Amino acid sequence: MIVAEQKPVKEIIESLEGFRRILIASCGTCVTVCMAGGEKEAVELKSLLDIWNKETGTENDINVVVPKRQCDVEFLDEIAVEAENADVILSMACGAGVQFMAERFPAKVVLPALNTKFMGVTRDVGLWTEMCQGCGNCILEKTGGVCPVTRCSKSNFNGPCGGSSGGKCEIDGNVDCGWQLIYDRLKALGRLDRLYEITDVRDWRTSRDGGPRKVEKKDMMV
Amino acid sequence: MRIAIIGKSPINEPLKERLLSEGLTPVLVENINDILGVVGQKGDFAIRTRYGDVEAGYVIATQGPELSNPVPEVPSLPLSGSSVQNILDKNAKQAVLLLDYPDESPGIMTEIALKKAAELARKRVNVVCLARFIRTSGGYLEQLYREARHFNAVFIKYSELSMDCFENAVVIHARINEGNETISIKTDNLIIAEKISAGEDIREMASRLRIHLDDEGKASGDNPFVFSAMTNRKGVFALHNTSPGLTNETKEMIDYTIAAIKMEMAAGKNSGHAVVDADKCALCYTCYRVCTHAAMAPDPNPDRSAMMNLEEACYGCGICVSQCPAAAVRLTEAGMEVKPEMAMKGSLKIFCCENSAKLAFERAKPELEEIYDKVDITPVSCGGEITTAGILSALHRYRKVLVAVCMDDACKHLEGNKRAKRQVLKAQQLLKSIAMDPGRIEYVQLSHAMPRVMAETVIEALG
Repeated sequence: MIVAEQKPVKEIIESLEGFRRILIASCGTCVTVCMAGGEKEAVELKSLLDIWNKETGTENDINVVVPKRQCDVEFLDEIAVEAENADVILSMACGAGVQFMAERFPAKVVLPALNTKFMGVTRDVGLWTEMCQGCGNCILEKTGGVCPVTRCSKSNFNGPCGGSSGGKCEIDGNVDCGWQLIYDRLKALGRLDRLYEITDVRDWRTSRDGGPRKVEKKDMMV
Repeated sequence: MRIAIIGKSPINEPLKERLLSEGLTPVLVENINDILGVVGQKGDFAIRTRYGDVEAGYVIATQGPELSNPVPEVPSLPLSGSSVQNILDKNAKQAVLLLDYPDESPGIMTEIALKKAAELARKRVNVVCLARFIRTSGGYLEQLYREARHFNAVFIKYSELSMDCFENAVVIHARINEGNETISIKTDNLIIAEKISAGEDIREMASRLRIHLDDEGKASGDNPFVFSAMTNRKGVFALHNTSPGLTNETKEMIDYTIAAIKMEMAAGKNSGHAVVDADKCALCYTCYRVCTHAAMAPDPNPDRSAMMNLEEACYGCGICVSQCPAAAVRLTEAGMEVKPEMAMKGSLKIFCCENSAKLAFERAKPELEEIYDKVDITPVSCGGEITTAGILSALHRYRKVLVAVCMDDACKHLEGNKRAKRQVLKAQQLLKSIAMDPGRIEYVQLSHAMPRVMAETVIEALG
């Protein structure tokens, strides 16, 4: 899941300055699950902005729409009428959703309400952690199911750096050393021999370094 | 009706016999490690085990925590054991019940002490009950306390305590009257409240049965593992034998549990519960995780990719409603939503828990007569129902909002008050972030027996 968090309200308010008809668009998938941009958050934000408007004498009209996703155009089509009637769309989706919304409604100003953080998992109610950087070349089979690209702060491929101490990373005593996790896991699985296999220098073109990426599934294309 | 007995305990055999004699069918799953989980709800549980599913209408968990004497060097009887019978058997004239020594006793011990004090006092034993903390708020405890007092049991609150032990007697020196006075009591019948330790096995069982443990890993609230009681999960009972052998008390506990099961069986359909809008549900499992009554589950209907409410398990507390990020859950009854068509009066909106603050408010009415028109009160089924959006929305029309919920550890839904506090803090933080006064939202925790606090808070909030 894509994990995001809401921008500071002040920043959102500043970005909305001068617009009268505001459309807040939540997103019903990832950012709903990570409690950043779902319907609940959208209603909350509207409530707060309404208070702000009342207190500051700002006259504007705020509406909320709740598309299921903002990364598939059909869901954006469903809110076309509301979008047309707005001066600005405040998208509570991840960066992908915000951009797609802007593409779908090219005449509208589309603003982000969230900061998109990472691909991760729900550890507990209200707690998400990063698990994948989308590097495009997965080696989890070699590392006991623990990603060295994401979970090691330096993305080391062949063991920990000298900053690993007591199972923790040198960047922060609360962060687990990714390589300690890999070692512990492989040991528990009786597969420590995997560590003798040296991983070659990485070709990062499969990752961000190769520029914007795309995936084509030819069997679906006619 | 099949009744599952879960865990190892000497109480299992007599319990089995009693269930059979009542026409109920006991099914025993002794090894809790065989259990993967318990799904379903009251009347229709499935115990998932390594060997397949075991169906049962109700569950009785008999594996108990360890109860131990907190001061083994002092000759005493355990409070929750068969102490009363022992004392009556030897025709004793006097007994001392000691709580909160050396550390605060578990909450359940107050109830046990009050019951035993009344029982002994009724049999003309002079009873002195020593405690550091008095916890008689709540109708039932208050009633027990009055009963014990009626039979001349004496209750003394102490601040410090020491003991001299002799061969057959103990002399207790207690600092009382806010430390200004010391009294000494000699007794050869000292009954001490035990401490309760939840071992790994209890944690395992609790997690597999989705029974709630508190922050310290103890079964929460009035520790349901000690005496027979329904747990936070409807239809799942905890029944623990605290003394060896089949004492009268054990028999009573078994009877009580069976009576409680029969009452549940006879109860009508639950009307106050949550409902999930399957079209909106993001299947994020938040409701499943936050529900303290194990009343949310994935919908088994393959046509619906959504969570569902287990209506018979639900207490309608609204925690799932306030926490659902997709706004996909609502309650069939009540609700804190401030609708435009709602009659509005005054400048202060009060969201109050109907189990505590609402009752305190009603009791405080005489004191609040003059300002009664200035407040608008919305009772909620639990503080857990209160949302940031609801508070902010109320601020559109009211100058101030007061959120009034139960005391710490007093929420009958376990976490509703904690969740309400979080929502208030979030709303205050949001107000602050737009340079507005977070003081427009006030928060108080109280019990139904604290009308004065309620009155003072309301008057202060009105300024």
